[in-house]
Amino acid sequence: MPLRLYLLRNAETDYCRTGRYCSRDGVCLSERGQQMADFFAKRYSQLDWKAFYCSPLKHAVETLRPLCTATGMEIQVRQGLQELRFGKWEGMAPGEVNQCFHDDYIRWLADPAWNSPTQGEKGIRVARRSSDVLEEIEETYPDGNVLVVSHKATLRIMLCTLLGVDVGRYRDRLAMPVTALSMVELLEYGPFVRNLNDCSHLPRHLRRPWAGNGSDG
Amino acid sequence: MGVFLYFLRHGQTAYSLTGGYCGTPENDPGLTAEGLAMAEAFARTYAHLPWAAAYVSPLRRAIETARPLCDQVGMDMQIRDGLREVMYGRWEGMHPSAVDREHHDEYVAWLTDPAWYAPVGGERAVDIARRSSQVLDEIEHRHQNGHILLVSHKATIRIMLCTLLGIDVGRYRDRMDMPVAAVSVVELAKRGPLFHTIADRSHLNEHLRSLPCT
Repeated sequence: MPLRLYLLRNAETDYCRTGRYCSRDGVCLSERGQQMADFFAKRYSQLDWKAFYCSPLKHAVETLRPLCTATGMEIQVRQGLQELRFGKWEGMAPGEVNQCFHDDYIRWLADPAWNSPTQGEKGIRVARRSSDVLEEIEETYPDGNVLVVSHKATLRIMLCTLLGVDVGRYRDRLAMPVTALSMVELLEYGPFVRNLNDCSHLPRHLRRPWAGNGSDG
Repeated sequence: MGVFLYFLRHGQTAYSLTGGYCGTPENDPGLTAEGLAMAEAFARTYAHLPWAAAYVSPLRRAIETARPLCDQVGMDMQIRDGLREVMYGRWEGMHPSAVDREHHDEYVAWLTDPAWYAPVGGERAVDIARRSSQVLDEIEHRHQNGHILLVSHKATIRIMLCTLLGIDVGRYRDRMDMPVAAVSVVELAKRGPLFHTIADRSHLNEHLRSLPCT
C-alpha cells in the first residue's frame, strides 16, 4: 500500500456560509458544520489511520474532533496547514473588498500566487509552508492512510502543487466545498489523484447543490 | 447558471476487468451486466438535472453507458469520433505485461511520455488532445447553459481533464485515476474551467464500487 493522503476541508462556519474571508482563530463550526464533522467521523472511523495532521485554527480542530473521539487518536498540529492569511480583508465579503481595496483585489484575482490580499499572504508562501508539512508526512509515513485537515485556499494550493498546476490558478481551477475530501496517493511516478471533492459521507441536505453555485465570486 | 460538463467513463466491460488495451472499432466490447447496472445507477442519480445534450464516443461501451440517461430524459446522443479511446495500434487486445515483454523499449518510451510517443502503430496523447478539444470547442459554442454529458474513455477523459486543468498532457496516466463509471464535473466558469469533482463514484452502490477495475 502506498502513502494515501486524505485532504479534508474544514466543516461549515458562519463565515463560509455567508461567503466571507476567514483565516482567524477562534471561529466555531456552525450547527450544520458540527453535523458535517460528525458524519465524516461516522464514515471514516473504521479506516486504518496512521496519523491526523491539522491546521491550528479552531474550525479545523473542531472538524477533526469527532474522529479523534471515535478513534482515540491524537492530533498533530502544524502551522503550515493554517489558512492563507487574508490580512485587512479578514471577515469581509468579496463585494466589500472590491470596493474598499479595489486595486489590490483585482491584482489578487489575476494572480493570487504572487499577489497577496492587503497585508495578507501570497499563495506562493502558502505553497512553501504546506509543502514542508507534506515533506514531513512523506518522510514519516512511507505508506498508510494519513489525514490532513486544512482550509479552502491552503488545500487548493496544495493540490495545485501536487498536480503540477500553476499555484496562481488555484481559485479558478478547483472548487472545494466544506467537508469535501480529496484523496491523493503517492506512487512510483508521483502524486496520483484518486478523487477530488468527495462529499458522499454527507447526507444530501448537507451537500452543496451544483448548478449556479459553483464559482466562488 | 452556466455550462456544467459531466465527463463519464463507460461502465465495466470484459476488458476493464482484466486491463487489456482496447480502442478501435474492431476491438469493441460491450458492457457486462455490472457495467449496465453502473449506467443505470448514473441515470437514476442524475436524471433530475437540467440536461441540455449528450456527446458520446462511437464505441459500443460508451453508447450503452449513455443510453439509460438519454432514454430517461428523452435526449438524443450526439456521436463524436473525437471522444473515441486512444487507438493502441499493435497493442490492441494485449495486457500491459505482454506489451512490456514483446515491445519493451517502445513501452518504456510510451510510459515516459505518452504525449509525444505513440503505442506502436497507435495514437499519441497530443493527437487525442487535439481531436477531443474540437468537441469541447463545439460544446462551448453551442451551449450557454445547462448540463452536458460526455461519455468517453479512460485515457481520453484524463487527457481532456489535463488540457482543461493546464497539466502537461504527457502526465495524464500518472496524475489521476479514472475507474469505470466515474464522473468528473467541470463548470465552464467566467475565469475558465472550474473542477467540482474528479472521479466521483458516489452514484454506485457498495457492491458496484467494490468490483475490481483497471
